[in-house]
Amino acid sequence: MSSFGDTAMSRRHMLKVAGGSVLGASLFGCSSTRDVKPLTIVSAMGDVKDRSIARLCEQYVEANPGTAVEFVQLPWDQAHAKILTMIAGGTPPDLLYLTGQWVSELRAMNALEDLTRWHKDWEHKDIFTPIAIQRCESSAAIDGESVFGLPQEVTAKAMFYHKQRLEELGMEPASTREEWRALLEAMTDASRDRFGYALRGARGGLWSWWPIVEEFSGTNHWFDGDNQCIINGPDHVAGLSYWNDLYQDGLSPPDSINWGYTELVQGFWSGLCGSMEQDNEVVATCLEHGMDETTLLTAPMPSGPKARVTTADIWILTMAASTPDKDAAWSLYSWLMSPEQLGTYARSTGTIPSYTAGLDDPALNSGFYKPFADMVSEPGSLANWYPSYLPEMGEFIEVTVTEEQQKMLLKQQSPQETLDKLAKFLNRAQKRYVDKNGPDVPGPPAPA
Amino acid sequence: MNKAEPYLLLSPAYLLIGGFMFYPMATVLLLSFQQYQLMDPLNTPFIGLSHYGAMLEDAYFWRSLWNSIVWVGLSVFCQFGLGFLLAILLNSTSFWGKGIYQAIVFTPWAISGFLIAIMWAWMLNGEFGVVNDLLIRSGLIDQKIGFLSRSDTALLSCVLANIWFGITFFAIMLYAALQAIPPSLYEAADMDGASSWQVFKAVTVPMVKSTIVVTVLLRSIWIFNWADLIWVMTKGGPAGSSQTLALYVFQKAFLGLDFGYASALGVALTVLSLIFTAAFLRVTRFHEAEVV
Repeated sequence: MSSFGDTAMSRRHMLKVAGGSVLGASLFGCSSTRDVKPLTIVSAMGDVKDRSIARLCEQYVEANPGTAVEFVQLPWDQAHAKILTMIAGGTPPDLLYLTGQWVSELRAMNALEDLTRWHKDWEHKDIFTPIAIQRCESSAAIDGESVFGLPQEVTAKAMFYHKQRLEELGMEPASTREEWRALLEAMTDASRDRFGYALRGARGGLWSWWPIVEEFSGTNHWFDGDNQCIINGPDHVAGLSYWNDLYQDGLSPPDSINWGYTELVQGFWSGLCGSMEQDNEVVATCLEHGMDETTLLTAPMPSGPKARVTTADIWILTMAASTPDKDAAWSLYSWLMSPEQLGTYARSTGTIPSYTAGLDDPALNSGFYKPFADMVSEPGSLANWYPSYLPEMGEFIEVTVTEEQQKMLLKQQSPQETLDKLAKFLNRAQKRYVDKNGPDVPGPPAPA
Repeated sequence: MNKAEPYLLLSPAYLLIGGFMFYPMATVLLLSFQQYQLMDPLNTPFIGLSHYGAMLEDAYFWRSLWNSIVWVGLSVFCQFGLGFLLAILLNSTSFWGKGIYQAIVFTPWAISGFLIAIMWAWMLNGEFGVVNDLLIRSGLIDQKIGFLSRSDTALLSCVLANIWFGITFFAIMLYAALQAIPPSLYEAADMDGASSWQVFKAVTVPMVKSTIVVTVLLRSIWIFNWADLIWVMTKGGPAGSSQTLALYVFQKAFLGLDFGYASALGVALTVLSLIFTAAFLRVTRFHEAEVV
């Protein structure tokens, strides 16, 4: 046992060095009060949002003399691994912005501070929108009476269209998947290098096709009551077949089998593809690349045969459990999460506010952003959900799904075989989880 | 002289090598016997040879190994063949502006692997790629080919980019070795009436053999461990058709976050490199080679 302890220590030390170097890699100096140990705050929300947070940190320091804050920006692609490395190495930052999918795994590592003791008496504790609270609950950031994180913003998916392409065809944004398919067919003209849909055939493809599978199956559950995976049932297969057929029928570019996030967004704004489904923050990317009101149109997602699915996630601000000065960290935390700062943030980034009064702001609920706000406030829609509590989910999404979906797109296997293999992987992962934690596993959120 | 003095003088070097090479290597070796998933860092028991057992039954490991053999074999064979040819041509001809020509020819070696990958990915692009355009214009094909999106062409496309990149390495090294061959040997062969082929076989090749062996060996090991180019061009896809062993290690460690299994794969990669090196040096009888 002693040798195990020794090796764990040495490895931990190595991770500390690695984590420290991550921290050192991209520090935004929000302030430089030399005699005060600065609070560190980490974010990987994207350039525009990170800059907005960095500016808020500067304002906090100006308003609170004697404090210091160091803001660390991480690239999105590497954020998950880097945050885990910092925590495993014992050098986590004080405050962390996490997506809803990361919270439960960090809680399982005892890495997040329970904020309940401050939160219960906090003046702004009731300002958040129902969907933001619901997502906090489904991602285990709010667990019964305990609070481990609060919502910074809501991100939602909607459909992006090339407006001119729709006008040329005399068509409207689709409200059902059937209409959408017809629209893609009309948009596609391979001889002119024009395609209907920017398909995500490589990394992260699950985020594109899983909501469609939910629309066809009418459920957001992955396992039944006996913890057996249900994603390879006939309705689920119909959903995946629908997505697969878009590629097989030439409605997406052949090269899109290798597309991840960057390529598919590029495939859209470059004009190669007439539509894509993406988060609200991608509006800014499209505008940066020359699109405007005459060329870009956003619309709510089409609904499937059994449901309309709302794909909404949140960014959650959390505090590391190992933070030395917790009261100082809460002071910054509560300042950042107050309505004034959340409003400043939402206005400067064009994101969906997480607090109720923010939804009434006309600037945040109009133009390109309206469909996103509509999606998150639509009653009765099915909430998209992933079993993020499974430690294998990272490998599942990044490696296993990519491999299996590409085999399907290459016609090496059918959608049924693809989902059978994925279900087998998930059954193994679920069994390991149940063996360790018992049969009560987290489930999808109740309907909004 | 004090007996300890040489060791004392050498100790800084040993400490640096130990700290920066052997410590990480030993850590990787240790991790390969542990269950070590970054998502579960507090639960890292020793599990003996389990990872190695799992590796033998892992179809992705064997597929990656085969892809690595194709990737290294084809790349080095073509790079060496074309590089040697280029070096001989440069060495046997003299023309105005040869220096500038050489500088241009050797440029690819100075370009970052990432840039080369991006450049070739665009050239081979299925919709806008210049390669497709040229093939269609020349009438060789009538439908565009998705070079990087087909499982039978993805790895070969990466090999093609790698060949273009690596020819210059061999050309530079072998050209330098060719220039070091004493002209008197060629003069003697000429006086003996040797044919060009005989001169090449009996003079040129033996005199540059040590360079050939070292460069082929080094390049093979580099390419075996090199994952950047494939990662940027295809990310190992589609469906793993261009996934090599080095890329598989990267994916297991930094996408799957399974550092234990990734370490075991890394150890296997190192052992395979060592076996290849030993076998290569034995087959080529490196110790008998002339040192130019």
